[in-house]
This record gives sequence, C-alpha cells and structure tokens, in this order.
Amino acid sequence: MEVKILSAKFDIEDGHKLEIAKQHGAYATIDKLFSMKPEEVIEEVRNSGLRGRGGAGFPAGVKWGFLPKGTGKPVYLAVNSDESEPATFKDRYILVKDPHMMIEGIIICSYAIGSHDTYIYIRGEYTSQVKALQAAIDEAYEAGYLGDKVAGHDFKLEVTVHRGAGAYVCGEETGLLESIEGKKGQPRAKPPFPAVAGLYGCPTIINNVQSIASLPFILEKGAEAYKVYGTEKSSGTHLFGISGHVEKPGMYELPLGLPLLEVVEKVAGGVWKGRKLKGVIPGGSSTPVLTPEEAKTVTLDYESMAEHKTMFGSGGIVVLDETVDMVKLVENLIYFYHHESCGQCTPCREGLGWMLKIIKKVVRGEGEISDIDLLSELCDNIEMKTVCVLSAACTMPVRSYLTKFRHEFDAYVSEGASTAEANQE
Amino acid sequence: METITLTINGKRVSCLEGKSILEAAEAHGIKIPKLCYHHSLKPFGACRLCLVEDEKTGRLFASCVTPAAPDMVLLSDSPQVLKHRRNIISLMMAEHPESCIVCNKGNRCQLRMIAAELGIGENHLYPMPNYKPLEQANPFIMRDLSKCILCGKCIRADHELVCAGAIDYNSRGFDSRPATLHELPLEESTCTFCGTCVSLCPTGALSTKTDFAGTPERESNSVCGFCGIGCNLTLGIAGNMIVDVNPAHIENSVNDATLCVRGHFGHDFLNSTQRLTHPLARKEKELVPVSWDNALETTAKKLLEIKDQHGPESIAFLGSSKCSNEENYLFQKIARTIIETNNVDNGGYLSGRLLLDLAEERTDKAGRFNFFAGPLSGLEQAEVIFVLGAEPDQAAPVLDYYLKRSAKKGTPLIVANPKKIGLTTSASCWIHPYGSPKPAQNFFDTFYLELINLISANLLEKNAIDTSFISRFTSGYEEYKSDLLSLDQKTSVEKANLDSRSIKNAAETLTGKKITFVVGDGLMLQRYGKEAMEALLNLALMTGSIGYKGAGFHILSKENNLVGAWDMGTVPGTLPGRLMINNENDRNIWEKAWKSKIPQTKGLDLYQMIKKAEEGSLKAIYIMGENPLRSLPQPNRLLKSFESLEFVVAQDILFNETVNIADVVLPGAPFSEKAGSFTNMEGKIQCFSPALPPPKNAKTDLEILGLVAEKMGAPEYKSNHEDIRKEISNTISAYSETAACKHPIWIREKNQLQDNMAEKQIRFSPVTSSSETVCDDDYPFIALFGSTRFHLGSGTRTGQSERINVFAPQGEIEVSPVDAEKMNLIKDDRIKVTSVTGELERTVKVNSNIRSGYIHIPTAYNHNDARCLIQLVPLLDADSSGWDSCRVTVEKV
Repeated sequence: MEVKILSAKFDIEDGHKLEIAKQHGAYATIDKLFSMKPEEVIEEVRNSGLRGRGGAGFPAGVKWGFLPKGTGKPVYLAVNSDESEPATFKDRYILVKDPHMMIEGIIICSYAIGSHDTYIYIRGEYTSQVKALQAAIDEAYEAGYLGDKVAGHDFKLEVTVHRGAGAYVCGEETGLLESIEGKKGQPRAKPPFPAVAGLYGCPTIINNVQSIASLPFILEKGAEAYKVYGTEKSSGTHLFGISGHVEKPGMYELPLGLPLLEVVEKVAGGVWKGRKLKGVIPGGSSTPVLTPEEAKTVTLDYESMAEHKTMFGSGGIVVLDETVDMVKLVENLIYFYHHESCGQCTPCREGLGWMLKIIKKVVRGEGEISDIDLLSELCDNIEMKTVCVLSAACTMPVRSYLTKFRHEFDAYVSEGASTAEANQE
Repeated sequence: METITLTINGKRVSCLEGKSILEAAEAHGIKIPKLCYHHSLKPFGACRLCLVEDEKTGRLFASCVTPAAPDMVLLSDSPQVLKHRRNIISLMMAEHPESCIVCNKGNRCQLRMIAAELGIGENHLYPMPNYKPLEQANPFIMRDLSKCILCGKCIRADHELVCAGAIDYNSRGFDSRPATLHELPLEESTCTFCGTCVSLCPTGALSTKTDFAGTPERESNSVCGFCGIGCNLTLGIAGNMIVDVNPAHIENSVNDATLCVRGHFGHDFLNSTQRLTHPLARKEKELVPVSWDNALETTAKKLLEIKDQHGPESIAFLGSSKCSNEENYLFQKIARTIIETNNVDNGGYLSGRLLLDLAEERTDKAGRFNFFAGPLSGLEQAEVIFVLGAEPDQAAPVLDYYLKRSAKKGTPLIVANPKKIGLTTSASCWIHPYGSPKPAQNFFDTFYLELINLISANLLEKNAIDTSFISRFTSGYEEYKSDLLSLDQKTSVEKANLDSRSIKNAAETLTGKKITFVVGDGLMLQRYGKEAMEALLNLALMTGSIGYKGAGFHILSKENNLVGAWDMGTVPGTLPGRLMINNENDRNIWEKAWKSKIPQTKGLDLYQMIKKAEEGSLKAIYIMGENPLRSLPQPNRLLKSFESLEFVVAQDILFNETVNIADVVLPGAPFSEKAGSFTNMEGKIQCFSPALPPPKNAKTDLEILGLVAEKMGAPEYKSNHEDIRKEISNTISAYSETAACKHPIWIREKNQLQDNMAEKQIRFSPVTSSSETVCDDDYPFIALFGSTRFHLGSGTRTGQSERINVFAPQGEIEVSPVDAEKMNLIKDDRIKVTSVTGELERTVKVNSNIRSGYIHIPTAYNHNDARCLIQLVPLLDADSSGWDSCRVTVEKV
C-alpha cells in the first residue's frame, strides 16, 4: 500500500545532504522550471489537484491564483512548518530527512508566484529539525541554489528561517504572519486574506511543508503522473502519521483514498494487544472522532471524511482502543486548546476556560447533567464566532465525543467519578 | 470609490466601498453593540459582540472587520445573533470580579450598559473571576486588570494614537493582559500618563485616580486652556466640581481620542484652595476682602487719576495669552480708547512673539498668515518634517503624537536638537552637536543658525531649489544665493560642533520636497533666535515650502491663546486683526469702529514696561491673567520694578506671585466657567461655553472688564461675549464667522494655497553667521532650561494640581555622568547653581543624554526658580544671551 514519492529519499543514508540528495535527483527540475513561464507552473500545479497539506485542503494552485497583480509590492512566501496539531508528525520527516526536496519546492513556488523572499516558520520545539533545515539552506546558498542567482538563472531568492516560540495558534496562517513580524501571535481578521495583504501588508502565500515538498515531483513528472495516485478530487500521496493503540505506529506515505480500517489493519498492524476498537481520530486532534461503525466505511480522502462529518485534517490518525476514557480524553483536549488560546477574542478566551472548568467538574465526579448540556451549548456559542478557527478546532471534536459517547459523560455524573473510571478499565 | 447597497434588518443602506458593515449600519442609525471598536483605532474584531447574521447562509460576521459587500442581506438582531451576544456578555460577566458593584466607572461602564440592554441578569455560568493585583501607585491612573475584557483599545491607542510603546499584550489565553515591559509599574515604563487609554477603556480596568466616587452628574464640552494645541475636552461635573476630564467626541477635533497628562489629569487645579473667590484690596500692606463695588471703584478711580496726573503713557496693560479672544479684545479696547495708550502686551512676549512679528512682516504682504502650515492634520500629508528646537513630547504632547504617527507611516522626519528628545527615536535623521565640546566653547548658541545655513548651502549646491516659486513669489534671491555660496562651511561646522555627514544626510532627505517645519522655543528663545528664524524662512522660500498644502511652519505654541491674543491686538504695535498702529489707514478702520481716537505710536512691550517702571515713568499696570513675577526672567528685579509702581491691578483666578503684590485683586474665571473663544496654534478658532459658574464671588473676566469700564464712565463697554464677537467679526474678516460660532472656524486654512499669494513680494534676507562665542571662565557650565510634560509655562496653574505635585514634585537638575563623577554627585544629592543674576538649589539626577559641561534645569518648579538664573534682556537686543540657556557655576551642597 505504501508508495515512495515524498519519502523517496527518507531511507537513503545522508539523504539530507546536498551531495547525496543530488545523486538521487534533487534540484533536477530547476532547469525545466526556468524554461517555463510562471503561469505554466501554476497551471501544472492546478492540474495536479494538489491540495494544501496543512489541514484545510485548499487547492494550492488556486490559492496562488489569488495573488493580485501589479501591486508594486513584494510578494512573500511563508512556509508553514509549525506542525502544531497534536498527533501530527509528518513535516518533521521532510525537514530532517529530505530538506532539499522542500527547498526545491520553495524555488518552484517562488518562481511561480514571483516571490523573492521566503520565510520558513518552524515551531520552536523543533530544535534538531531547525538545525538540519538551516544546514541544508546553508548548503543550498553555498551551491548557488539560493541567493542572487538561483542556479545561475536571473532569479533572486532569499530564504530565512524563523523560529516560533511555542504557540499552536502560530500555525494559523495569520497568527504565523504576526509572529514573523515580531508581534504576539494573534490571528488577524479576514478579509483581507494574506494573498492580498499578508506579511508586512504585502501579498503573501502561505503553504505547508508537505505541499511545497510535493512540487518537485509534480514539476518533474507532470500533473498527470501525480494524479495517478489518490482519487479524482483528492489526488496524490500523503504522509500519514499513525499513532495510538496500534501494533506498528509510525509515519507512512500512502496514496489518498484508501479505506481507513484497511490501513489500520494492514499498514499499522491493527489495534494492539488484540483489543477492540473504540474510535479513530482521523486527522489530528481537532477532527471529530469516528466510531468503529463509521470507520468501516470511511476512506482517507477529503470527500469521504466530509461525508462522515469529520475532516481529513493533517493526516495524523489516532487509533483509540476500548480502554480509552472519552471523558478524560475530552478534558485533555479542552485543556490543550484552552492553554493555546491566544486570548484575543472573547468566545475562545472565556469560552474555552469555561469548558475546561465544567469538564474538570465532571471528571471530579461533581458534575450535573445540566453541565454536560451547558458544555454542548457552549460549543455552539463559541464555534465560528471567533477571529480564527482555534476554538472550532476544540468545539468540533468535543461535540463529536459528546454526541457519540454521551453515555460515558452521563456515567460520570450518575455513578460518580471512580465508578465510571473503574468501568472503563 | 463606488457606492454599494446592502440590506440590514430589511432596510436598504448604501455606503462607500471599503466601509465595514458596522460603519454602514451606524451611518444609517442601526445600532450594533460593540466593545472593542473605536472609530479612531484600526478595527480589531476581538469582542465579537458586533456579529451580524447573513440571512442567506446563516453565517455570522464580525461587522467591525467585515467589509460591506453589494447585495448582502444581514440581520443585526436575529435570535441567533442575540443568543450569541448574550453568551459573550455572560462569559465576560462570569469573569468579572465582585468589585464591579463599587466600581468608579459606575454607569459609564459599557459592559454594564450592554448587559442591561441585553437583559442579562443572573448568570447561568458560575463566577470565575480572574483576580489581578490593583495598581494605584501613581496619582493618575488606576489599573484593575481583573476588570479587563481584553478589548485591546488601550494597547491600540498606545501603538496607533500616541505611539508611546508603553504597553502590549502579555501571556496568552485566559491569562492574557495588557502589560508594560517586564510588568513594571506604569511609572517605570515609557507611559506618559496621557490617559488616552483611560478614556477609551470600556470597563473599570483603567480609571482616573480620584477621590470622587460615582458617575458625573452631567458633562460639558470645552476647550483645554493649557497649551496651544487647543484640545477638545469633555468635562464631567458633579455638584460644583469638575471631577473628570476626557477628550470630547467632536468631529475633526485636533486631539481626536487623545489628550496629554496635563489636559487629562491636571485640571484638578480648578478645584484648588488657592482659587481667588473674592475681590481683594490692599489695606495697610495686607490684601483684605472688599466688595466688588469697592474694588472696581478703586481700580477705575486710580487709573483715571494716574492718567490725569501722569498722562496715558504712565499706564500699561498686560493682557493674556490664556484669556479668551473676546476678553483680550475688550481689554486692549479699554486701554486704547479709555486710557488712550498703546501700552498693551501679553504673555506671548515670552514665547518669542517678537520673532514671529518679524517673520510675518516679511511674508505678510504675500497674503495673510502665509508662512503658517495650517491644520496639524496636514502633518499626515507632509513630504518631509523638520523639527527644530521643539520638544513636543514635553511642551505639546498632542503635536508629538501627530509627528510620531506621521513618522510611523513613513514620512521622513528630521530632528535638530542638542538634546536627545523623545522624538529622536522616531526620526530618520537627528542633528545634534558631535564630539566632546572644546573647553569653554559654547556651540549651543550657534547650533541652529549654523545648521540651517549649512543645510541651505548643501541644498543650493545640489540645486535642490524651487526655481519657479523663487521667481514667482520672491525677491532678493541672487544676493542670498551668492551669500550662501560664499559661506565658509568648514568654520560653520566647527563653530557649532556639527558633523558634516549629518548635515548631508538632512539635505539629502530634504531634497526635492516641500518642507513642513515645526519650530519651538529652543530655537526662538536663544541668542541667535532671530537670525535662525530668518535663515529658516529663507530655506522655506528657496524650497518653495510656503503656500503649499501641508508645508510651511508650525510654531509650537505653549499658550492656548497665544495666537488669539496677538490677533486681538493685545500687543503694542498692532490693532485687532493685526492692523498696524503706525499705519493711518489701518488705524482709521478701528477709529471708525470704536468712534474714538487711537494713539498713533507703538506702545511699550512687556520688557519696556518693566524698564519704564524702573525709570519711574510708568505708574500703573493692569494685569489680566498673567503672572509675570513667576514667568519672566529675574523675578527679583521685576518685584522691585512692580513694587515701585503706584498702582497694580491683578485680575486672575489663583493666588500667585503677582497677585501677592497687587493693590487690587479681581477674581476672574478660567475657561471652564465662562464663554469665549480661543485661537489655537493651527489658527483654528474654537468657541466654548461655561460648564460651571465662577466660584463664590468670582466673576467672568468679560464681566469684570465691562464693570471696570462702566466705573470709568463708559457703560457702553459692558457687553456679553456674543456682542463682542459681533463687534470683532464686523471688522476682522478672518474672524467674520465667529459671530455665529458653532463649529470651529479656520482663519488660516483658506490662505494656504499659492494661488492666493501675491507675486514677487517675499524678500530673502541676507545670510548671517554667528560669531565665535566662548564660555565665561567664572561660569564654566551652561544651564539649559526645559519644560516637562507635567507643567505648563511657569507652572502657575499646574503647580496647583495636586496630582501633578504628587507625581513630579522635584524637578531634578540633570547632569552628565562625566560631570557627576568629577563633582562626586549621585542621585538625590543637592547642588547649588549660580548665574550672574541669581542662584537656586535642587537635587540632581545623572542623565547620560546630557553632555559634559551642560546641565538641564526643568522649569516651572519651586515657583519657577529657574528664571532667577536668566538675565532679563530682550531677545532682539545685541547683548541678549537668550532665555533658553545661560552660564552658571555648579557646586555640591
């Protein structure tokens, strides 16, 4: 089931080094790139159907097309390497194992959108990844792939690595921009969208590491070759991080569109210790949970996930076995998002604080049935009423647990904490 | 820009493209509640109260940050929207502390108001107060951040409006709060206590520290009586007291949502125990209360007696740059027509008005007021701003905000000041003396003149001149050009210890641009002030920076009605409307209006009045709203001079140094207790009405003047401000709209454009250079004087503000680290400073921004003792060493 497109060089020893990477085809597309017109590159990417791999799945080529023309302002590219969604561990592989694939992607994207400055925003906790990335960038400058003349062509490109200071919300694209500008990471009101007024008020494209890293393949082999993988509307491959209660957790590159349970069984070795499946988080902590029943029919692509009222997200699949206490899981979830709320707007700042207070009360065994209703009501009152989607990233999954596993919450109220806990064991 | 139409609550509304839904709704009377939105701040979308529903999709938009789009169909109060709003307020209320009940924001709290409107009663959410320590160490601002709802208005005001950089967000999420760097107390941050954040704060998180508890009973709009900016105020009144001051919500007000520490917090002086509330007269060396009749009778009788005995020239009238236009007008009319003297002046004399007289004389023929730049809002369109000898962050903070905002937008800003003033951090170029001064060399005197000459020469060499302006509007350019080309630049650079690179930089920045000048006392009140002003005018002519929108001169005026007093003829040489005394035609205009003869010769100016008093030929002086014994140099000399007078009348609002030596004291009223108009430094006439009656037996100044005139046998002079305005507007065209004074009236804006200027009329003046000056060995230090933002002028009024006295009571003298080490001085040591004319003692503060050989003495402290050190010699006299610096000795006490 596994394919090796993005991960082609992951297993090569020292594949992150320029010399080795070049032997395996790194930067092979550069000459072809500069023989094309920028519009042609955009067209190729659009045809490939590549969708943003950060979580929202917005078609990359279409996004690039939003850039206004002739503003007289510089165009910036920001590469989102914040990878802050819990259960997500895909970009880190690219950063460490094949950074040159991403740098090549940056060159392709920059040329296509007419940008000469790239900022790679990388999460502060990624210390070894920053080191590896910076070393690769230094090599690329040294070899002339970056700088005043990219590979000898009349195209200037500067790449700067910007380290975050540890905030989930800086993975949100406008929070990320604020942070690069040296401000507190607080998302901006949209519109204007970054493509119109982004970094320092200039047109800016923000793409995820994996999206950018997918570009060399598309350019080299063409859109059609990319579309061989995946489904019609969800083309290509994806790096899936499978974690939780499986026998073989890990990062696997798979074409989109495979049945979820088959992947869990065949790729990740199935639910561990012979236990029963209780649920699957399909694409990072912010995606609504799937019951075993739902998991049976879902496939790993944007459309199927949407049909199942959840989201494809970041490809971070978490398998939950029968021992998982959903109430405590929700407590942990709310704790995380409350902790990561920037505090800018009221519903998120106050609302998540509220939800945490209530769920803690329930976990302590002091909750009332009305508290669980209040929790659900608060979800409604917060969701989509905020500046960014951070709060929705909390309320959407929380609501799914409240609906699909309501009896567990009720048990905490009716039977008291210890009994409920004991029943879970 | 196109007009778009959308539907809100079933009502078709139209607005310009780019407007937000909220703006479109409000313009059509649709009220949408909001807490984080303010029209002066960039929309932020934090509180989420202003959400509206898209009727088609059910989606919610934050109306403050969502642009209105064609054919939107929106609901501002659908059940979904209301439910959401109630939820937001419930969440906020759940976080609010119990002290809400006793909060001083009281019924002004917007959170409380909206909660009431939405019918939020008992909260279904458990209380979850976010307790934070109460900060109230400073006398101005109380911070109770447990009441903070994170609307971010304070932070945005700090960043966008006043550019202080004192606060930003700290922490995140539930713990997020506005904070200073390292969470230090406000007084240890860069906060200037302008209070802009306090006025904007919707809850009790930020409030004015005050003894008053509750909500003011009523509010009244007014115009600030401190500096020349003329900020619009809203006075909050309870009983007979002004208990709160905020910027007024008036369209196109000069200050918008901002104020400064004086305007916001210093008006507590109005409630001072030192207010004059009863007429007084001197009986056996003591001032004792007398009846109004008695005081007025004595005043009239004495003045007329002295006029009869010694002639009209033996009487002088000192009007006020703080009193209203109407009062100044009537005051000089009494002097000129009843006493028949032109011995009329006002406190503007101290701000270098003589230099402005000269400048106006040069440019006036080209169209009135032409060298002035007009509205301060023009600074936002300025091509380049050149600030010389002004310290706006201290003297006129609202001007400082304008400059910083403009610089933030990218307007190049050049600051010339030997001191590292607050504005230098925003400047693209700061010109200051370089290197360590040579022994006994005083480059301070020569600094401005030489740098202006050098910059002009540099621009000329680059041919960065406006030839069409020069040929069309000026004369004498060729002489000027050859003068400038023969300037010995090397010597000039050396004399003023300049770095030629900074001059080049400045010239580069100015090249090809119309210049907006901001000129302050630092330039005008020094030894070569006149020459520097002349040189600056030449530079303006050469670059065509006059009569061009946004360009020209802003003269930083420290007094609220400096311009008005000048316009009203409270000066020895000109009549109201700045008509010349010595011009027969001009005189005839007023003689006709007043049906009275006007003496033909120019009267005594303030200095000459003192001189004549010393010589014995001046016998009486009528002082209205000035305190020369505190504001003029050499107060001891002045005291002697005034004590030798037969009769001194002081009409004022506070007990002060001058009132103490008066024979008759007439208790007047400040701006808040009377009606009138002020003309600010922009040339904008603003009318105000009383918020309160004068206390006890005090009367408005206009009434007092009318009564004095009546006692002198001219009852027809008794009139109210409206009649006086009519009289003024009948004759002065610039003031013609004041009779129907409802909105601010511009007297300069109309004269701005070159189209209105006469040709070939403004002459270049010759290039002058300073002569080498050396320090007197007996007085090795140079003392520089400067105001602080807490005090205005000599501090007569601000010195009575309890808040300001609590916060800044010392006025420490600043010395350089080098000199401090030499003299073994540390913070809070006391030093004695002596000059030829006097001495003073104060504590010291070591400041690395001060250069060795200099000390900095803040003015207005300790009865303005700094003035003892300065010699009282008129600015234009050849042997004047200026009023901005003097030579001194310094010793540790």
